[in-house]
Amino acid sequence: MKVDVLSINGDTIKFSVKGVDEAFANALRRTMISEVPCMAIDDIFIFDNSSVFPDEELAMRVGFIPFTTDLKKYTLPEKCECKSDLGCSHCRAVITLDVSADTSPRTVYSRDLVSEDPSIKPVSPDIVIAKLAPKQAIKFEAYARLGVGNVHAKWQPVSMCVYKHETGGDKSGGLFIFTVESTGCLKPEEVVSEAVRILVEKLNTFQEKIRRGEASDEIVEFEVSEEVGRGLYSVGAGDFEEEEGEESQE
Amino acid sequence: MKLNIVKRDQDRIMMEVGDEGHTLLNLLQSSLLRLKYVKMAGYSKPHPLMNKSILTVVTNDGKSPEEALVEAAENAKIMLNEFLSDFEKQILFTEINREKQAS
Ligand SMILES: [Zn+2]
Repeated sequence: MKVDVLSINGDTIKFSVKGVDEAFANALRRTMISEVPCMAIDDIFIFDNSSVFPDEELAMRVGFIPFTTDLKKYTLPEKCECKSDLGCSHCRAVITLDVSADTSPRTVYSRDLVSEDPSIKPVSPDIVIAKLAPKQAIKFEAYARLGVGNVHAKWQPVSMCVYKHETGGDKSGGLFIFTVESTGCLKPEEVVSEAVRILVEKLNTFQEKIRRGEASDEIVEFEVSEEVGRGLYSVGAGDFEEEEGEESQE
Repeated sequence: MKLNIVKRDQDRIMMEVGDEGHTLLNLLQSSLLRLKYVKMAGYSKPHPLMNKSILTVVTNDGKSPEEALVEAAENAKIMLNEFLSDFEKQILFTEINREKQAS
């Protein structure tokens, strides 16, 4: 195997691998796209929104803002020890916004978001969230969490992740030239390393289960409700109270 | 990841792998097919909306399919770890070069 880093330019890395097969290259590519976690706003409680956007639209716009991510500091909510719905300081960062336009129109940018954790902030300060007319205001509290692209595209750490296979005509399996562009949430080389670690971890789990002869009796088909539930937004403080009520009934 | 053994004969295993798809199974399949004693290895996804795959392995030479699965996973891990250490060395090298250029 031969690995060559060809260039690192801002958020883009180019590297080549020789001596691996298509399955290896494709597993790496697919993992980078859909299984490397990054931060995005997941829950939002809107206290005031008199902008032209309905709450849902505002929540979606905020959800798609890429945030810088610290994978050492945060864990995926489902793997966090706190087991709580709202999370703890290891699995979420609170982001707030409180803006209003007084006498003249105002554009609200991602730089107006206030994060409790300085390491979790929008990758660019210049992303437009909304434009406010005089006397309009937006006020919310949002929770940024780690998640994976499998669940929702807002958690996809790469804006481009492709490889070119140059076969070269010999039996070596050819050369794979990767181009990976990070959204800015992680360094592009971090995305690559993390993907490899995730794959190794999966293979470890698989091996362990086979060795121990551990197999569940049945795999329930369409066990998707929980997965789909995550990645949707809860909008408004009112919804939140309803959710709590439902849980106490269970 | 959930595993469910559907069929287990003398030299054949057919198992459901829950929560995994092409990413892991294609890697495993290719790694299995490199083993000399694996007669057949393949997987299918019963439905695109179901998050599970069905993996089948047939072996010969008196080796069990479980042995094949463990060895195939091990070989894939070796490849991945080799890639990771080479890659990280290269990154370190690139960073040092960059610092030299900056200073
Ligand atoms: Zn937590």
